[in-house]
Amino acid sequence: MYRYVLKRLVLLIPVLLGVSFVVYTILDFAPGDPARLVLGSKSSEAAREEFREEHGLNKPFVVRYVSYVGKVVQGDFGKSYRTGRDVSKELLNRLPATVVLAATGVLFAIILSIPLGIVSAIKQHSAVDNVGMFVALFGITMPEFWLGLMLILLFSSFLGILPSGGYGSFANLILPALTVGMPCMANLTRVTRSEMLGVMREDFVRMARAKGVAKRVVIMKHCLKNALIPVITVAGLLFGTLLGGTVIVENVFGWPGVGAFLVKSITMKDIPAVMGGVMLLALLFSLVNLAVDIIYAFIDPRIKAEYSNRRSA
Amino acid sequence: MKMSSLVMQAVTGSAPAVDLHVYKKRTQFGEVWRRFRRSKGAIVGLIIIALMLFCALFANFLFDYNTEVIEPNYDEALETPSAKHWFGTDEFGRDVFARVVFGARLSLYIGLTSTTSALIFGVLIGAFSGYIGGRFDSIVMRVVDVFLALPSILLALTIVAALGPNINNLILAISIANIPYFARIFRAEVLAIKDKEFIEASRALGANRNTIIFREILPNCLSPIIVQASIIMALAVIVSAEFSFLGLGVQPPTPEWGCMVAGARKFLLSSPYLTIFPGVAIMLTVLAFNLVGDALRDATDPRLKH
Repeated sequence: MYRYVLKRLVLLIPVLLGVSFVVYTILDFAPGDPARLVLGSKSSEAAREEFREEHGLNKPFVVRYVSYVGKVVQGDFGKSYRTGRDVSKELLNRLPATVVLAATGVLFAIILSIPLGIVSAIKQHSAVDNVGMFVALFGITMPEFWLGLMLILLFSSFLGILPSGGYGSFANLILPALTVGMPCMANLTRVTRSEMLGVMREDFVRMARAKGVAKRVVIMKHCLKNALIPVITVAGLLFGTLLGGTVIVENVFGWPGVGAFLVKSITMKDIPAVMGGVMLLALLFSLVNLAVDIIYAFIDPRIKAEYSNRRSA
Repeated sequence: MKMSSLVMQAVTGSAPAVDLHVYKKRTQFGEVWRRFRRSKGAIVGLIIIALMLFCALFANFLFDYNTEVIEPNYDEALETPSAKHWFGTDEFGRDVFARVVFGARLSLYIGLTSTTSALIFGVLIGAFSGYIGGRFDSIVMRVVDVFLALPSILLALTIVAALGPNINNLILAISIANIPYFARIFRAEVLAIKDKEFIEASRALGANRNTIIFREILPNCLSPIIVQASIIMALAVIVSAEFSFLGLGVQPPTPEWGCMVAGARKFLLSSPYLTIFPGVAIMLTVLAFNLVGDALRDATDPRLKH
């Protein structure tokens, strides 16, 4: 198995390099002179030239890109144009908030969606199924910022039981996590249901039932185990959408995470900060997908077999 | 199907010729439409889309853009919904209903243009990559993989960050972010079909690469692309609202739905209807395209034919 993990880790490197190249190239199109932006329009030409020299802005594109990657590998994302502080420090300060939000969102999505999907599949066309699918459809169609505002309206303003923003306690976390997890929950419910429906019609399931295995055991062991494999893949891919969602949700609830920092940096044209934020979230996304692939390999005996056979041969 | 019904006809003794005639008339499009129509969701979706299209096309016959949608009228600020102002008025005294109707125009415009351009480029990349194959295909697909490794919202954010927030850059950002999805899906379709006999026959008849791609492959691979397009359309409407909400897309006072919600946020507790109505409009539009997409997927899936 460790060979598989190693292979996936190695394959991650060119992808991350590619992502960094794409992001760096796009942001290089940003119009405007950073030196003028940072030092103000009243600054002297000499001071601006010095700034460009210091930040390596007057070097050719490829040289700048290579030196940027070299620094990023050492954990240095450059200095923010806006605050002059290290982007990496700013990001590290905010990373825990985003990770907590995203993880709680995923947890909420998984805990709700898998049972809901299973029940919907077992009782296809029943009232439970119809309600479940209706909720799932609305979860997909509601834009996150609006859902967040509606939850604030309901839970903080009318019911007055949860805070509408802030950071620190578990109560602050509930509404943002619900908002960020909702589209993911809705998608996963639909995927779980359709996968379960597919597996339940397989011959080996009928075989198990015919042998006299209890229905509950067949569903939990034979069906669920097979249905979960695609569900986990989809969950990994949805994590990307969820990370994108944190960018929006953090702005609705004033959550002090990477997403809120990213949006603020974009409005301030703070290019090094934008680059750092995007790179960090992309890295997070890639690592989660790597983890998903590894979990996948543990669940799916076909992958496991492929690697153990090759080693023994 | 044909055989079994012929047998049925033989058994029941009615004339088979009439039946064959009916089968001949049923085109691929007719078949898909017949199955599409059976879904209640699809019909609801189509009705909502028709309604939104009506709003988008005839908005300026219903309301005057300058006096009712853009210019402030402080005498009527923050009125609750009434017979005169169905959705109430915002803090500038502008009619929210008129703004929501004009918002349909913007959302559909952004959604359609970004989805169409993503579709065209995605299909071209997928078609050539899949058809030519070999080293060209693997290079193109590695590039597509890199773009897919970046969540599409992040990619769109990066593009907006570089080019600045306005409606054209928003459209550009959404379409670029969705090209890789179209490319990958279309390439898979091309790979599945490119060694079939009818392609070989066309090549044997002397058709060149472009003729084969555009005349033979493209029409036979369209259905998954159309399904994907309706889903991307829904996504584009959401993303454009989200970006405008964050101040990274359409700018006020333009009546974009996300933009309207951003402006209404200050009044969430005192005048919640300002937030609710534009949000419902977004939700209905997205719902409609999702319903149509789901129904199209089922209707074009040969496994679910009977």
